[in-house]
Amino acid sequence: MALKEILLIDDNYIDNYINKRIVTSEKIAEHITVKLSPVEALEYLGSKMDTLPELIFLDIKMPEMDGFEFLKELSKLCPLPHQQAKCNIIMLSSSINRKDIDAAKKNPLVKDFLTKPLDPFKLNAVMKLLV
Amino acid sequence: MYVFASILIELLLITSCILILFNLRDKLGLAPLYILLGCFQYFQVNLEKLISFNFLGKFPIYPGSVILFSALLFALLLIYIKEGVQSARTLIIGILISNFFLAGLFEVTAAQDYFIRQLYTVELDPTTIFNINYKYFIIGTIILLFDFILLAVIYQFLISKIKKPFLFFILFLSLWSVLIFDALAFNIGVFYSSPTFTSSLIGHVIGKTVVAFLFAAILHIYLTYIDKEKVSSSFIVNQQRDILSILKYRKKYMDLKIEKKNVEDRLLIEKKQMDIALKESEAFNNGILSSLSAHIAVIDKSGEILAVNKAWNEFSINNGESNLARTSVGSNYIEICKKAISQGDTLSLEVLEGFRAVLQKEKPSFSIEYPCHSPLEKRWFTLHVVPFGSESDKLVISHINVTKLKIAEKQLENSNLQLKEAQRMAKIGSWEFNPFTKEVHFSDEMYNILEIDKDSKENLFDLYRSKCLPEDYNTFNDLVDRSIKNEKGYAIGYYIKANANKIKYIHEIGETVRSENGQYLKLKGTIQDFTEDKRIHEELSQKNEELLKANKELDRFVYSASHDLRAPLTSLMGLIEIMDMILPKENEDLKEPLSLMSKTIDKMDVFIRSIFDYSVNSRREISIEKIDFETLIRSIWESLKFMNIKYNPEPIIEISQETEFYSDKKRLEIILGNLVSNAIKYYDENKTEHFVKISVTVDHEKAAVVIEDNGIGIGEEHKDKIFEMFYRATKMSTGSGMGTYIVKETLDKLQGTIEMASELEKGTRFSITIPNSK
Repeated sequence: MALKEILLIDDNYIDNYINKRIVTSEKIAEHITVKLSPVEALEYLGSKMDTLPELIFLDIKMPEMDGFEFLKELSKLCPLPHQQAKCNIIMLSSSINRKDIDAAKKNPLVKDFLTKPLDPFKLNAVMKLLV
Repeated sequence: MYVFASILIELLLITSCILILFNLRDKLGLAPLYILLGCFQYFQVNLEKLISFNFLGKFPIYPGSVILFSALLFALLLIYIKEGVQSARTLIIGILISNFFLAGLFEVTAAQDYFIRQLYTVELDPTTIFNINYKYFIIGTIILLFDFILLAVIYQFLISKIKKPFLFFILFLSLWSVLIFDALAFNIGVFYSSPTFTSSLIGHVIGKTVVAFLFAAILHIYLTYIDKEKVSSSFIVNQQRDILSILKYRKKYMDLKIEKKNVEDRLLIEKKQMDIALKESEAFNNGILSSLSAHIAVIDKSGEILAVNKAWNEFSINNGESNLARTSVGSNYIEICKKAISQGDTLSLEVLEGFRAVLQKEKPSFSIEYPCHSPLEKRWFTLHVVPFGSESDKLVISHINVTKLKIAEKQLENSNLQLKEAQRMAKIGSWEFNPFTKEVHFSDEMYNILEIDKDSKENLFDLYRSKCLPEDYNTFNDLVDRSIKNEKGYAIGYYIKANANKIKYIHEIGETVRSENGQYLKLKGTIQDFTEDKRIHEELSQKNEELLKANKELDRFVYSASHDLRAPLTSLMGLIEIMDMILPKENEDLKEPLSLMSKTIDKMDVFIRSIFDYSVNSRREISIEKIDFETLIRSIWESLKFMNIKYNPEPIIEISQETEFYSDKKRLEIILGNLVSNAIKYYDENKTEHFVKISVTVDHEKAAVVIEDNGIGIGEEHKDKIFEMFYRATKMSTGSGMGTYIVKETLDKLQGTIEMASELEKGTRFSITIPNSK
């Protein structure tokens, strides 16, 4: 199964590189879009509301706006349940803080929380969730 | 001339006879006087015509008859005045009866004389003394009766009308009027129509007037000077009789007799009652005196003991003076004191001075307290001296045992001293404040704390206020008003300016109390010098604040450090992963260093996690929630799944749960996460079969969790040290030495326990218990 588009939101260039390589090597998406800040990502998503990416990897700790703030803004952008159902968001962070993990798991937009680094195992587990 | 002298002598003789007998009436009774008067009457009857002389040649006077007759009246008046109506009547009746008997006796004797003369033919002598002129006799006797009655009536009339000082006049007038009446009546009755009537009457009047004067004078002298009244209130003295009492005396007499009896009876009863009352009152006084515990004695001014009470004697006996020689009635108290003074006793000197002052009325009383210790106990007495009555030269001495009072006083003094000491040491002062009068009382320590001069004459409240900060005045006033209104106490802390250079912090506690008469409320309380405590407290709270800030910063630091330290690590891990993926087959020899790099990064990651866990455990408050062991263990297992380990076993989980379990979830994750990851990490490569078994048993008290593996095991030598920080029991370099230490720490926080059983190459079993916080 291949997805049309995967969106990676992370301020760290290296992590974006790694994630892009892993996703590419597993060949699960036709397009991989990378956004270095949630603000850019929101702009991007707002511009193509009809064809939203099927999977979004979201970092937590970012300047300007963190991952949770992004989720808040996104739920404003997509207030309707069928819109939200389309957004499969996976939190991908190096945080081991229980608070972050719990908050992520409670959020209805978030499908799962993964600890960095992303690797083929974790990616395949996520793919299983989406089916 | 001799005639008048003889008449005077006769008069004096007769009156003195009467008066002497009358005066002896207490010893002889009145009978001799009555007999004497009877004799006079007899003599007078016979004397009637025998002796006479003509005054101025033509007026016939019968001196013997006049004197004797007047003497009878004189005696009657005397008896009437002095002895009362009864005796006077007895005399009148006696004389009348004897007159008639005498007449009869004369007649019989005359007859006798006549017959004897006839028998012996003796010449008849018509002048025999036994022949009585009956006309004279009967008229005389009847007139005599009237005379007597008239005398009593006239006297009684006069005495009731005329004042006593004119007694002579009364006596004379009584006697004279009766005698004149007698002269008129007698002469009219006997000589009327005879030629001698006028001269006889004049002779009678002259003689009787003179005699009346003389008798009145004698009677007056006798009554006034010789037989004067001794008791002024007697019935007779006042002569308050009815004018005609001589006639109708009978009824009155009986009434008086009854009245007298009644009075006597009443007096007798009263006397008896008084006797009883007196006896009772004496017994009462004695009872009171002997029931008093004070030792009481009465002494006179010379010091002689006149009376003592029971307690006085008992004290003497109980204190070694069995025979009471020195202190009983009759001993001399002042002498004893003097003796003591001579032996150097200064107390006795003071006592004597006190006696003197009270005796001379310089002081109303005198008191002195003195010790009087017996060999067995300490004793104190108070000697109290008061005058015996207001006008007496006697003294009442009482000794009162005041030992209890004294001991209580000393104890009070002691406890006061201790209180003072305690107040001084604790820097606590106590005060009382009347909000209406602004009257203030301070304990000594108050003055010390406020640094107020105790001897200052200034108003204490103003002094106190001058030490307070002016900006606090309103607060204080409000506080006092509210306190009084709600009848509630208060506590307040404030600063005072004790002196120019020193600020003190004061803690004050106030309470409302009712005044002694219950009419208004006042305030009572303490202040304590808290300056030092306040300084320490402020330092402490400042430190605390700093500490809290440091803690918060540390938390933030740990959080961002864990994240920021991990972020590059995870990037590295990811890069190594990619390198591993894209490594061409010909560069197989690079796999080994890549794997080592990966392990090094893992080790660092574990360490960072450990530090994070440690920080969570030591800082976070315990928060209790329901625990589902199955889910918890599975999620822990999941999070460990991606540990960079070749071996990845499936867990064996056995849960036996009879009740819900509550505990701190995050801490349980730390505990189980560490133990499970150890069980996985330290698997034995030499074995073909590996297992990690987790069994949980939950009951009401606790959860018992056993984590068992067949890994490499822990050597005996490490068993005691594995819970120490940074201790590593294995040569494998993946451990940080933090894991089991954090487990132990976290379990301690939850008040759980941990035990370990292990054998090298066989496996390890950790058994933990966690209390059920349901």
